[in-house]
Amino acid sequence: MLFLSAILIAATGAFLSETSEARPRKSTSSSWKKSRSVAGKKTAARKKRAKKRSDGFLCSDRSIATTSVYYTPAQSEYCPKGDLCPEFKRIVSAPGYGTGSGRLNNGQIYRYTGRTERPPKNCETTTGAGGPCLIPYVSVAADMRYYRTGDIIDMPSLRGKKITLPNGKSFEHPGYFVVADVGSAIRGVNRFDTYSGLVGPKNPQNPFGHSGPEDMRMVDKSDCDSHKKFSVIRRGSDRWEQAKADIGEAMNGTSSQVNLAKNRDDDQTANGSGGVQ
Amino acid sequence: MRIFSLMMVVLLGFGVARPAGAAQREPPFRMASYDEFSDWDEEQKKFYLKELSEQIVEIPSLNLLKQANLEEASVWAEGWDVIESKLNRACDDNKDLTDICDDIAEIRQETFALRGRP
Repeated sequence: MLFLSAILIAATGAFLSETSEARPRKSTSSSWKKSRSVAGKKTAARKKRAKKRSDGFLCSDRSIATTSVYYTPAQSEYCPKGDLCPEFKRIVSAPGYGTGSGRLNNGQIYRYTGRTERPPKNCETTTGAGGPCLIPYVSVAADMRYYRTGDIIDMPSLRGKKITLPNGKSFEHPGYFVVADVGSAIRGVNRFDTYSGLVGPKNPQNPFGHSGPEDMRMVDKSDCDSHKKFSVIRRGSDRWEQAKADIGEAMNGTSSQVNLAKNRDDDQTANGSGGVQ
Repeated sequence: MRIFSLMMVVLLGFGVARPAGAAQREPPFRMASYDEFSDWDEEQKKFYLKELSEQIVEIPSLNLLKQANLEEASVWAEGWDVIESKLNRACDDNKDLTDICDDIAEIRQETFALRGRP
């Protein structure tokens, strides 16, 4: 082992020496200079974009979530004739409540960019920016400066609350949210946009919406009530595995695809099709 | 040659490499974790690798990384973790790299935004 380490250190030293000599030669190459110039311009553009963003209102107590609600509009609700009507396109493209995508009558996902795509198997909603299918009342959009996709937000006040889905099936909320998406206005460590599937926030059947019970309402971001107290369970931690299992159990039988986040083990054993079973 | 150079990057990370599955869990999140990257669609992956390869060479300990090396690491969790570890260590230790580290973090944000909302 010591011998192997010595070889590695020697190889590393040789590599470092090569690296330090190679660098000045690069500066004389016009293609290298050009690529640095391009990178520099991109850096400036990125800084400009980052500055433009604003956090907006946030609950001053950072352990209380500042929440709102977003959803995926269904074509059938907006286009009675079954066509791709302007109202549906407008709703899908509107900033704020929407996911930037809608469900077409044929089951495909319609993106606000005009692109259509097939949803993942058993996905009755849409996919978020993180990749996996969004889970109604469990997926949230968060600020990726503070979170990784798959991180779990523990909100104990929701645990055991009954929620009925549009397909008539119901489940008891596990008291967890999963970070799965982003939003341009979702900025701040305690800012979350909760996803309510195909049910809009004005729909009385949406428990997170305007008509929802007070202790479940998520739609008003200026509401900093204690029922929104939360803690974070980081992806990959010991608690995360248990919370992931609890979410899977709670959603069992709802037909909602519960693919919170793949594990690298899933990649190796199930060719990337893993998730909570 | 590609494999050799990626191997060298990994060897250079010999002293800082963490066990597989131990991607950085607390912010600041500069680089996408292997799991995040795996969940992205092809368009996001392509964009991220291209943009990251342009910026990551500004980090002295990673200045020989090419896009092809990152592509190889993108299907090799341990290799990806080592690159992420080296980046984080360089960013934590060297204040002169603050701008480029912020820039690398912003690429992750931009990649999410590719499939984000209007």
